Amino acid sequence: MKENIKFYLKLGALFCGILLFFNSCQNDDDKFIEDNNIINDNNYTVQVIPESDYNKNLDLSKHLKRFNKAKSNSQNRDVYNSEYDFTVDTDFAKYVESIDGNTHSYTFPVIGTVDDDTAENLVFTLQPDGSYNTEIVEYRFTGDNDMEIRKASLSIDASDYLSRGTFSYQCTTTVTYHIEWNFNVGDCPDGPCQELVIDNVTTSCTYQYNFISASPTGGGTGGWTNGTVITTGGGGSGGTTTSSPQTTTSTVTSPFIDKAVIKRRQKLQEISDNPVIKNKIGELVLGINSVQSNNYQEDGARFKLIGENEYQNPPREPNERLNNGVNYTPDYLDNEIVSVHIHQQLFYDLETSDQPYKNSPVFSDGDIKEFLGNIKFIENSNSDLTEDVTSILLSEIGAFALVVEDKQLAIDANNALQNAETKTKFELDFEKKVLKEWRNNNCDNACLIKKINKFIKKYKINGQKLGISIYQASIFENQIVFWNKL
Amino acid sequence: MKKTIIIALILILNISVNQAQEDAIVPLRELGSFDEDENKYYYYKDLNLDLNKFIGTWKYQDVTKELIVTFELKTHKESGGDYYDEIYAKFKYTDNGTIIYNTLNDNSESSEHYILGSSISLSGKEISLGYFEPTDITYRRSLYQRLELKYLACSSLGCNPQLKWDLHWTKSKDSDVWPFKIPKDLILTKQ
Repeated sequence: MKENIKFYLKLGALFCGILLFFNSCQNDDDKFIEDNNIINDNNYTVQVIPESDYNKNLDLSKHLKRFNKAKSNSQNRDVYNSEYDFTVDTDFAKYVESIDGNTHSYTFPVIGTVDDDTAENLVFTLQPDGSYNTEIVEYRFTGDNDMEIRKASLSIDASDYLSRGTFSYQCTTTVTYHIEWNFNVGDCPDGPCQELVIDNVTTSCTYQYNFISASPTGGGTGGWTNGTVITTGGGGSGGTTTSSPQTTTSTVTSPFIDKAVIKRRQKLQEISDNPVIKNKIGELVLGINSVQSNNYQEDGARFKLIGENEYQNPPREPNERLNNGVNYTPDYLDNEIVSVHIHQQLFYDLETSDQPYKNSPVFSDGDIKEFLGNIKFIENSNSDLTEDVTSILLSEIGAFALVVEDKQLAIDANNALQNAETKTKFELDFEKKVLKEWRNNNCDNACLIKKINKFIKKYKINGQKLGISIYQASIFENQIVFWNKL
Repeated sequence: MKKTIIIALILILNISVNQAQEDAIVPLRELGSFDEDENKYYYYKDLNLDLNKFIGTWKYQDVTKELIVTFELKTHKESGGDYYDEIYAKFKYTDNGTIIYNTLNDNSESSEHYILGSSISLSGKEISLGYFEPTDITYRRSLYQRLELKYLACSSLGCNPQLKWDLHWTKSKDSDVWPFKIPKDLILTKQ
């Protein structure tokens, strides 16, 4: 587990510390990264600064004021740009400055970006005339070990604002990386730890990046301090690496990327690749197809953690398999943090119809309540594991996972749902917001996924959200691949 | 005069507070089909006044059974962060002279949660309600559990509108018995 934590810290730190240098468009054709060497580069400092600090820069404040103030019910000091339809978290900025002081930039995370695999930042870069260039820089994880980076200019003063969907992106850069073990005792005093190594960089413009080595005291938006800055480069062909602090038309930024999502995706893959779980998933998947195999009941298994990513074998099987659900007695057990179940396609109730009923291919309200109950149970029995409680659903449209985002919110939601009236409202709201249109054949599977995702993200009990989120993956040859946050 | 100004200020404040609770008003008929923004909350308002036709007392009676249902309206009711106009039922069910349920005079909040909802159809004549009959038979909630009501308008002079009552539920396993005591298919008449 320690190794994993270190790996995630390093992963997060690396992405947090990437410095990008995008040259202006006219240079796109003739400048490429040329070598694969790792270069120490301490040309820049990166600081995470609070609003009170960056507000001292009046020019920047003027730029930010071009955004409308966020709605009054927002607890954060976010600003919203109605023309571009996005919200910027302005609690902190990343301030990147060249050592010689000739250039600097401010970076803010954009909230509610298009999907899990994409992070967008709003970047203000100082120009030679003292003004700031405003851009959106997007980081998109395109595969297991690839990240694509591109930028789009924002003409805040222009009248012909573009909609977010038609941003004109430029300067696409693909970074390919792999993971290696680091045996350096200085880096990993508790034993070998994993690190990300950049394999290749392909870019349509001049591109250079630095990263700050892992700082175990880091984390969050402002958790790391300036440490060893390392430059690596690779890929492309020809040209020279010419990024210089004096290239004031370049975009210089240190990204805000949702490390929690990256960590969670890896964790989910680790769970679904665990041999005990993977083997059971392979069995359970065969029970989804009702048409060819007369599978008319749900099925599942619960997995007890007995060591580092090691689960008791065999897992616990349900005491009862039902048309819509599985029963376990007792409901929960110590350290049983992973639950997997299937929603088969169809079931019968011959007393009400001779035709089969379709089963929902997404989590039910009962599944959500059960997941919240499991979180509470594990919190009471071994709180170190609460955030690892995971519920995986396999259905004809893929795999889904419920995970913990904020355990206190989840526990509060579970406690509130013990009240009969709150529970009734929850069930009724799930019915009208998620199930109704699907059951009436007015909502296909994609629509249903959208609806349950919104329900889980938005639903409030006693004014608080549920503190959980949902991920989706594909089932390929009876195995789960590519977890993504919905 | 002072009092009037204060009251006016309170009213204005109250209105602005109420308005701040949701981001937009959506016609109730679009509940379920409206594509919500995940960062916004809504007021599903009965702009077409569809719920009004269900309000009031309805009755079913045969040789042994009698069901009296009174639907009442609640507006701007918060649930899950959104707001809804909705109806709920109070009811009295008698079978062979035995009163099985009687919530007609129950003013507790819990009595409003047995039959309630706001999922009106696009035509405004059908509504799907959550059904949580306080039966003493243990059952597992079903994916298909709901009460569907269809308003049958009166077609001739002197008659009363009727309400088609269709209760849905599916078993979890073959050995399950129908858990509800109020019949599942009825025609009620407006009183």
